[in-house]
Amino acid sequence: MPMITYPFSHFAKTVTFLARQAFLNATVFRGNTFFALFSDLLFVFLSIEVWQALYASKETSLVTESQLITYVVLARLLPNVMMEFVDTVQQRILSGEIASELLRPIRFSVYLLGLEIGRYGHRFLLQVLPIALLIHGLIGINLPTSGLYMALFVISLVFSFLLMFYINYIISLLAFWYTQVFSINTIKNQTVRFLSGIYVPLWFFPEWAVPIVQSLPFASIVYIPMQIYLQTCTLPQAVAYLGLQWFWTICMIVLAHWIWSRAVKQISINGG
Amino acid sequence: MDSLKLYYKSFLLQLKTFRIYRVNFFASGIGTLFVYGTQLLGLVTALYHFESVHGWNLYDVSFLYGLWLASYGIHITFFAGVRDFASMVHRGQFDILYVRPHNLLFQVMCGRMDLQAMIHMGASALVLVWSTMHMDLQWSWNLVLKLAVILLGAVLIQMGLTLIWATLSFWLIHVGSLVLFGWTINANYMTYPLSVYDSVIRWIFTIFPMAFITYFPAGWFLGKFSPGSWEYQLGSFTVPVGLLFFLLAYAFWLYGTKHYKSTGN
Repeated sequence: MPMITYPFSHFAKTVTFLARQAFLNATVFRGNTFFALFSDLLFVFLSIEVWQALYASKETSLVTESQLITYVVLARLLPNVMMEFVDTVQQRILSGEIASELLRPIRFSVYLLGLEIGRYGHRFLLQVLPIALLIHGLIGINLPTSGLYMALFVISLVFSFLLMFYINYIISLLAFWYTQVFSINTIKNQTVRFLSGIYVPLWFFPEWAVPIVQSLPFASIVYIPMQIYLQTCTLPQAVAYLGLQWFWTICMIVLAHWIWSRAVKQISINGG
Repeated sequence: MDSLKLYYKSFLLQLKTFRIYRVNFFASGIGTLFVYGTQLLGLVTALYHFESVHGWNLYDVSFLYGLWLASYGIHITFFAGVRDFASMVHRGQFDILYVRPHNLLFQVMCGRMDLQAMIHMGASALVLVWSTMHMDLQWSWNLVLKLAVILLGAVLIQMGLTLIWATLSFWLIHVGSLVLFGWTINANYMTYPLSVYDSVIRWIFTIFPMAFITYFPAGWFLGKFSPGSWEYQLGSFTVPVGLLFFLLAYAFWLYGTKHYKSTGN
């Protein structure tokens, strides 16, 4: 496929347009949003109580109770582990309709990224923010005291989203070679949930496992943004964390493009 | 007798589909095992660090998880058709069952058997054996009987729950998200002792008896409650509670089938 390069303004315009469309699309399903809001709120609440009980059962010098609760709340809400496009892309690959994506004037990944940004925006405004504010009102969660850390947190959240997007994108493309999509999707979801620190914050992993798990790409999704948000790392550490996130994101982008180019070859071999 | 024969015949039919889609079976089996493996690993990691929560240590909590998994697996053996009932309604395949001369629920049960249940039961047996090996339980016939009793009660409640979701699909389109909601509560939150939650939540899951799948029976079985306490009493009553819950769910199902209007034209 010939590489067509567009000016960045063109790219930004396309992505903004797609994101807007996806956002508006998501607002149609009000019943879904409401149910998701309710169930997420309950899960967050139950998680808080579980971790309060665990915290009370043993002295720990690793974190304070309010830091732990803040972590538990935001780790449940912020990441979007199962992105909506994965299913659609896989079905289109299995049915062969994916070939028509090659006709689009933009990269397939950019098209999907635009849509997913819109959906995440919808989720952030109508699910993450209301629940976080409500929990903050009821129980109280920590807010970053320093503006610098807050800015770094926002940057790390963008990387976390990009990383999660490219992991999902790679998994969806695997359907070209492997048709058992249920099992690969499940393995992806569960690996991310466990190793990113959604199920258990990485602080509480056995000591020997912490340095290994921290440097894996999954830690960049939840654990690193939360470390920065909670200011449980020093400023140079935070910058190093951002570097790690940046490194893994670049790796995933390169991998995704490589897989996509191989997939395209496969289409032109199979199809006419 | 006839029913048994019918069930056996449908079982053989399902076995044939398994032989055709063998790769599919093993691939989804790996996915399923991965879910349970990571969930249990989450519990174990948390309890490994904190040692215990409300008097339940790592192995006790793993037992709760094993009990949930075992009851889920056993119930899927018979109720896979009921679990996947929503799609039957959506496609209008349910209508034909009305003209056949047999109990509707029985026909739904015969319609699908999920051999994945074997994987569930294998995994849960491993978890139960591993967790009880690390406890000083005095194994006797009495204790084995007790285990069978709590499993029976838990399975009845799982069946009741699945039947309620299935019945709701007569009126609601997206039962899937509701099923996932219930499943998540059971798998991720009811596998911690119920006492960690506040009184409102404890009441909710005692009256809507999700806590009778794991917490009350396991506490009774493992001797976590002092004899005579109300938790102990409730724990020993899981089978009656399960039966009552299942009968209520079945009554709801009967009501649903009477008021069912086909999705067809």
